Amino acid sequence: MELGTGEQLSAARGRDTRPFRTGLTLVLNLCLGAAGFRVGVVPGKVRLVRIVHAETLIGVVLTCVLGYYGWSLVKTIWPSDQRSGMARSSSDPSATLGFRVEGGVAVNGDLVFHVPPPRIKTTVVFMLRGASLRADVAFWRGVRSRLSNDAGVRLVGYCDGDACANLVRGAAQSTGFPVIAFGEIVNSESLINADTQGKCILLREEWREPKHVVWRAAGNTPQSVVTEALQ
Amino acid sequence: MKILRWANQGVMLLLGLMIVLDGGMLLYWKAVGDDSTRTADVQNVDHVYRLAGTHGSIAPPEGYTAAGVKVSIGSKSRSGWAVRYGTEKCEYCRQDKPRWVELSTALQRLGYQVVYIPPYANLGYPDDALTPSGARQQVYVGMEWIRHFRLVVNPTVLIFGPEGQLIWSHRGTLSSDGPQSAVRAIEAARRRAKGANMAGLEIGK
Repeated sequence: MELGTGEQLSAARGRDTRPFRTGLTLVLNLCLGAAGFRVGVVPGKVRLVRIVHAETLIGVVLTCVLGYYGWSLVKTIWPSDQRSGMARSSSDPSATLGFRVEGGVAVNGDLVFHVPPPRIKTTVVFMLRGASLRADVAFWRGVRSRLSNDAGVRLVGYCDGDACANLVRGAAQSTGFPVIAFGEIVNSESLINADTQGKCILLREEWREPKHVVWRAAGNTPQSVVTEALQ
Repeated sequence: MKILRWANQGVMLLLGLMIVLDGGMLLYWKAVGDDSTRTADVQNVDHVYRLAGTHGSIAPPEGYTAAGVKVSIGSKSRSGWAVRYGTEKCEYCRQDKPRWVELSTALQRLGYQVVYIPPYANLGYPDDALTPSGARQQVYVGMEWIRHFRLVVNPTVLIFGPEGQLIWSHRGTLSSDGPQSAVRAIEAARRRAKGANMAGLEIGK
């Protein structure tokens, strides 16, 4: 198959065509070699000659086979990213976990939905431990007392187990905020992990990720949590 | 022309080397993959516990459906119970369905009660998708149970004996031997329990 001629063009320009021919032939051979073609150089003309190399054909077939396996491998690996995104309750407690505003069942059996009313800007979610329930509730009552009704902040507590839930249920005085005893797995795991670091979780619609704030630490007061929640 | 021949030979040589290397890597990956699949059912149960050293009896999960109906493991399930953590929205859970159906059917035959737990309440299975018949779903789970475990992979299967001891667990999709492996673990646990009871009777005599 005749591709064309560079002779007239080169002659018109008055240049030596040999480097051009050699370069062109090299590039064409590199591009077409895998497809079983070779560019032949005839003085003044460039010819495309089909030369079926057995090794080239074997190479193409093997490349196709490996490509098929490679594609299968990619398809196999790809969903694992979706899976990890689905339930990111990482084994690493320091990881930012996917606490989502959904719901739970309070200690009294009532369904609690976290979908905040329009006036609520920030939801603060925290863990109450059965072992230190009195101090924990006192802390969060302190937070609540420092928040005005129009502050747009809502507090939601989670009990860490049956002991806490029984104590809250049996308490004469209300905590002043809902306390969840039955939660969604990822939310609960997120909060358990945050609580192991002494943190509560702040949620706000415009935030891409929840904010973790330390409250179980010496020197931390209800006012420090209020300050964070109102920021 | 010599340059062209060398270039051609160089390209072919490189292609040949890459094919050999790719082939070797493919064979290695398949061998490692098969091996990990075979050993996947012999997972260390420590991975599903939140805290080390908590391998005692754990009460079955109590929870609620999305409608707020309480779901507990019934007293009928004296054999034990199983927890299936997953969701229909998860690709791996869908891929795993045939083997899970096989396992859940075996669990039902062995008298185990099955509880489904989704990651979030809105990712729960429809009631008619729960297998075996009689399986229940808890979308809100008691913190008392959650705090013992780290459920980080969809799907995960946990199988507990009658005393609440974890006897088999698997994170990820089940291998072809998965259901049989679980049944073998259950039978082995039953033999151990029977042996312990017999030993107790001997001491009591």
